[in-house]
Amino acid sequence: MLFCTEKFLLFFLVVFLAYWALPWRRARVWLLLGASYYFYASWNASLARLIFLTTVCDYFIARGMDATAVPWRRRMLMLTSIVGNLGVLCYFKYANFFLDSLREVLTAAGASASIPVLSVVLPVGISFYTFEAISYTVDVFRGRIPAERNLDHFLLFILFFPHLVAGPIVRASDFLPQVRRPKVLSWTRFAIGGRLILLGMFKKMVIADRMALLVDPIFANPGSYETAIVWMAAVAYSIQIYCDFSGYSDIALGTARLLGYRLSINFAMPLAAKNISDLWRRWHMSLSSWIRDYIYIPLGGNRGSVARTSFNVLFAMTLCGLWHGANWTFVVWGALNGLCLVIHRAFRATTRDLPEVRTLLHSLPGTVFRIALTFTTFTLAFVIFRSPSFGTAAEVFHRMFIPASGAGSPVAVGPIWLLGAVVFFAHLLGNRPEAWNVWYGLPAPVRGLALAGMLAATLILVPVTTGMFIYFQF
Amino acid sequence: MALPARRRESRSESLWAIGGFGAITVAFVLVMETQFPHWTDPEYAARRERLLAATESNPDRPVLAVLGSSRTGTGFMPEEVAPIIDPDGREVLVFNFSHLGSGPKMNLLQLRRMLWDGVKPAWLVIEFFPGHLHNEAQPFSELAVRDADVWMPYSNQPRLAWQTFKLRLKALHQYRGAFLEAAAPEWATRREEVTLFPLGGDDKWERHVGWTPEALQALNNTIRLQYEERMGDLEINPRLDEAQRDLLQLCRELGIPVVLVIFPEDQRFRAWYGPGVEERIQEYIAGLKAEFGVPVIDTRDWMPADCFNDPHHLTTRGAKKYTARLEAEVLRPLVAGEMR
Repeated sequence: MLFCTEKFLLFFLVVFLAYWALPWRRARVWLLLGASYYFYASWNASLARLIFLTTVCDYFIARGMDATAVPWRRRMLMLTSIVGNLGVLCYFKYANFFLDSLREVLTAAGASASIPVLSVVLPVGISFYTFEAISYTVDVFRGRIPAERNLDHFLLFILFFPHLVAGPIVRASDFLPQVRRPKVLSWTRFAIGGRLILLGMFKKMVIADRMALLVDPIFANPGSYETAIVWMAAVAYSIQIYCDFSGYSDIALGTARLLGYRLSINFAMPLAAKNISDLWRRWHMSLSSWIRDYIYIPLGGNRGSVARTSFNVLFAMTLCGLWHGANWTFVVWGALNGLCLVIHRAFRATTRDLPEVRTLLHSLPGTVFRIALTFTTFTLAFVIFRSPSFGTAAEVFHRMFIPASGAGSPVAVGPIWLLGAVVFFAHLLGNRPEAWNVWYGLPAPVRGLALAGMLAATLILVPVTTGMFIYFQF
Repeated sequence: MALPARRRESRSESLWAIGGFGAITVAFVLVMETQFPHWTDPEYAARRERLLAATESNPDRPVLAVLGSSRTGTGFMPEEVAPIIDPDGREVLVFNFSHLGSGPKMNLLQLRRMLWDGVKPAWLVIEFFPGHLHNEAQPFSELAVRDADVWMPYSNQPRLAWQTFKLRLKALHQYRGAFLEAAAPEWATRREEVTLFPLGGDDKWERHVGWTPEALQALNNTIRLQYEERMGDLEINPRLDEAQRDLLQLCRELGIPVVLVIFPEDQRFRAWYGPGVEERIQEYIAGLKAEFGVPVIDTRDWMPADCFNDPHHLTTRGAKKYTARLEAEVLRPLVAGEMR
């Protein structure tokens, strides 16, 4: 069940009305649990049972940790949870990837081995809920949060349908207190939630899906297009993936808000980031903070030598790449981002004692240059991310950097330029409080009509061939 | 109880948003239904555009329209017809105004649509497909409100009314393709282009040529599933019978000479006819002839097996041969007033 479909709209309408009609908090929790289970089972009922079972296991493991003060028992229980969750993740997501890689290595070495191909269906959103479950047991182990006593509350933390399949990756310390909190439906909540949903739909259905019309044919056959169009497709993909994923996140935040829950924001105008570190603070924030807290800092963070810190960054970002998908292109994309972060750290350390350079970089032209450089780096890295193979990525880069003639755009470029400009101006204005003051300074009827116009525009401008959310595959 | 200022603001914003969206939807539906009812049906819109272009550039030419299903769409190519001169010395404009899945109801609607568009055909050739007397597809999304009104007497009325209403709720999304093509063509994206020749001939089925044997087999299986059971025990639906008769009655009232034609089927299709079905068809045809005096031409066995793409759609080569024979044996006699 996709967010931007009639089926989901109907599903959510029923859940929303029933939820607020119920006067009992516990009944509401059970309603959301049932709805979330149904939401996931609409993809695959047996995989819904799998998540349910692993979640119940994590619940009891955490309760077990809470019940004992013996450190090694607590550690064993935590490791059991981590190994169990990662085992399920590896089996469903990475088993064939590693087997394929092994087969290729053996073949390259001249050996022949009969390595099977497993017939597995990838559970939607497995990477997201696995990380949520791991963060929970680790936090309980570290004593940061107590183990949740109510099984239904814990199940809702993992299964809550707005964030279940593509995040944001929520933390138990943020979510569980909200389950217990009494909630009332208010117009403010309704307005904020509705606005987020509309914004998300516009980003996904109008911008991301329109960009896909340009991106998909060019990445399918980059060699036949002219250089300028291939560049345009690469930039369009950056915009597409941002609008696709942040659009999903906005809808998730909006639906959760309408049900009385606040999920953490996942994007903060990342395309306007001034450097690569800034970008990773603004891009997929729930994942980057998870990686920081559960991989980078436990590895030592930046407390060691420069070499050790660089290794930590590279390792964490490579894992971040692998998290995205079972393909070496994702691994290299992650490693490349890690490398950029290492280079940026070194550059920052070098320029710390050069006030002239710092002044220049923080001037208006310097800031524009830094944003452009960061965006270009981000775009080039995403060429690898988007390409199904290194061969395709190489072909795209070849077309981008060796001027060549070829076919022009497969679609009308007017809408692409216009929507690109919309994203640009949104980034320009979005972080400025005065822009929001202008919005809230408008009379409420004007704001309401603007939102109505936005919804109408979304429904009209969505291309016929609208697609899945990109991050569903992760 | 008075709400705090912020909540009042939020309530006002939300209600204006909901009301505004409702107003935009209602305005869109009203404009579409009154000014652009063809937006609901891309195939009809494409044929209408070609028909109006042809009639506007030749206002004095009388129109001979052919109505029917995909059998007609693919089997009859007006572009292949040599000039036909009517008894008054005017060159006839022959036009294929068929529609996918068309049976008695859609044929009646297509005639109504032509009349609404200001084109009154001087002669009509109407495909008679016995299978569509049992069951006709219900393309709810392709019906404007005025179209649904034509269908209403022959349909499950509450269902048709509900579907028509439901589609209007999401009209902005449902009918955006035609709207964008008219208002902002750069933004329009179509799942499949409606590709027609200038006089409404359709070569879409020709794309089946070059299919793998497996793909063709799958297509044939689909057609078999659609028609085998239906043709095995052909029960005539009283509502569709009524639509068929109302269509002929309308032609009679308008004074339009009509010929019914049963389009070609190959041996595979004929094999699906159950015992007694052929007799039932002949009996039904005899009834129509007696009531309306309408000629019925059976062309089911006119074409050899190698002229078919599938059990009942002709190849382009087959369509050319068929059109030539139809021209000689049906169209010219009809225009000359010799068809009895």
